[in-house]
Amino acid sequence: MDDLKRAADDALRAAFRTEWGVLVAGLIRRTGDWALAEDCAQEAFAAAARRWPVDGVPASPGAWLTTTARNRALDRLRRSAVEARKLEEVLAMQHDPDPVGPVEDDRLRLIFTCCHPALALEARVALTLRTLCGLTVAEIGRAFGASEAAMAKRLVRARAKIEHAGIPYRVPDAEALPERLPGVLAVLYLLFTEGYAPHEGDRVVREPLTEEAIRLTRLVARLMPGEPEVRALLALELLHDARRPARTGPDGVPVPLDEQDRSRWDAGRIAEGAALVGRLDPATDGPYALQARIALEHDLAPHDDVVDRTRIAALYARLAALTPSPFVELARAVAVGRAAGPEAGLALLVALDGDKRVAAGHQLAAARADLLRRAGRREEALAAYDLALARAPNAAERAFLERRRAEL
Amino acid sequence: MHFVLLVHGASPAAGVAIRLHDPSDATTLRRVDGGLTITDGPFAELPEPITGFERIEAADLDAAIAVAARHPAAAAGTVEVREIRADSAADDEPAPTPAPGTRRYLFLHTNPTDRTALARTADEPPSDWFTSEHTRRAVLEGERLRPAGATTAATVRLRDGDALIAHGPYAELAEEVAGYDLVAVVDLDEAIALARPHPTLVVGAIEIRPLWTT
Repeated sequence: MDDLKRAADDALRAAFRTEWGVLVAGLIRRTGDWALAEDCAQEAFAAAARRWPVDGVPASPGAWLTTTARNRALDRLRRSAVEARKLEEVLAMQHDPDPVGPVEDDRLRLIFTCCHPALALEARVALTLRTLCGLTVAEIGRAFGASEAAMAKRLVRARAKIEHAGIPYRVPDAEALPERLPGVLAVLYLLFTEGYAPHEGDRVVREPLTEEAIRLTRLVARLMPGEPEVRALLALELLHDARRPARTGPDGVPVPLDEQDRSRWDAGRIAEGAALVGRLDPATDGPYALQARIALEHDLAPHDDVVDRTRIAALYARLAALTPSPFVELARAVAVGRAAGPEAGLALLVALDGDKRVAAGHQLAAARADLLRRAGRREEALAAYDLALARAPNAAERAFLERRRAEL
Repeated sequence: MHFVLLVHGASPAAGVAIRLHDPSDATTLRRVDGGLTITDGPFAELPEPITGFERIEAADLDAAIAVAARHPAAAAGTVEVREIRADSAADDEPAPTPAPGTRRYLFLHTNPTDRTALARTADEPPSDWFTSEHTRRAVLEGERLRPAGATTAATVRLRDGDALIAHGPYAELAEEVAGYDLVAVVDLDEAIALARPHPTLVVGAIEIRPLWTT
């Protein structure tokens, strides 16, 4: 009985990863009802959780889940006495085998619709996680530090806007793609950088958000082979994620990049990321490509001392030209500080004191403190660390800054 | 003369000819560095968002103000009166009826109130947006407004039976509504595609607002 239960749990976990988005996407296409699609998908998985441990895992889990979800949709539509046409569509669903083409298209439709720029970014993220990744509303709330009620409200609002504003359920025309793809990539990038850790003891153990982001980015890259920025984003995610094993010390304190044990970095991910970057044409580098190249400089260097900071500073300069932002300027100043000496970096930081987007934050203070430390300006460095500590957003960051300050 | 009444606040806009969905259901287009930027929400967060729209005829601005003061929305919100340009695009052809399967949107065109920014449009070649076949089929009506000034615009509120009237723009903003189009298209993506080549986007924005369907 135990083996059957374990096999069922494994199959369920695997099926959830691969089938949830497909299921929801297909149901939305057929019924046009987002809430119904999610509910029926959820009920299908709940039914699987009850039946598979008892009956065994079906030969084709995807087909089992699809049939169950469609039947559920049919039931509910019948009971709500919906218009005849919609019911016909659902009935047609029962006899419709799943060809490969439309299934892939369905998920692409879903991604582009969830990530429509007419939706607020936070709405896009919530909708993507719910409909594509199958996270529960509570899980999404936990990931973004919001209550379940607030997150539920956000999803309701998003679906309402889709309906009121007439956001269509389709892949954009080629002409519209340049203005639509950035919206998708922004969501995937945000999912990746949020990277939360799931709670233990969940029925189906969730993977970290970083894995969801990488999985979705892979999917979009496969479905849109002609878009280099998608591959660049995937490379960026892989190259950053490769460092994850070395990023936190045993005490939970973050380990800065220059002190990480590189032997713990994931060589497989680095190799994959490097291969992706290798295929990019520098002439068409977008913001993700540039960031991927920067990450690659770090990941390929055997030791922090031999990282090519001059090249990194140049890449940040190109990035700043594409996507001007004080945070990019900050990163560039740090790189210049390592390439041309701390005084050069400090000089660049001065310009940022007037930019209210960074002036009050802790990153600017922390970067200045670090450069002052490297410059040997001890008294000023201490004061800068104090300022950074006052603004530090969490305990882990505080611990790191305190350690640096104590070393002076 | 022709005027536009923009109803602010008073949601749902009482007794107004064209009732708009919530501003959170709006989408705004701008051109940034040659590319189209699409953002969620209206072109500006107004203290009283625009919720309704109506077009009226009146002898002059004072007559239009009188109409606005009697409007049901004046008691619940604020009615902004704007003069339509005498040389506006309106021609004698009958307005097309919306094609079946389409939904209606209001395009609110904005211009910067800063005249030097606006002057950049003078160098632009004339756009064929106004004469294209696609436009003709999708645009039900559209007008250009005179810039809001003391003699071309007013705001009207009815409070405790008193008509509070102020001549001039609704608020001191970086952008003002400079024109509108009422369009009928299948969905938001088509609305965006329709708006994309419009000359407004050289220096201004286009807010796409769905209409309440009753």
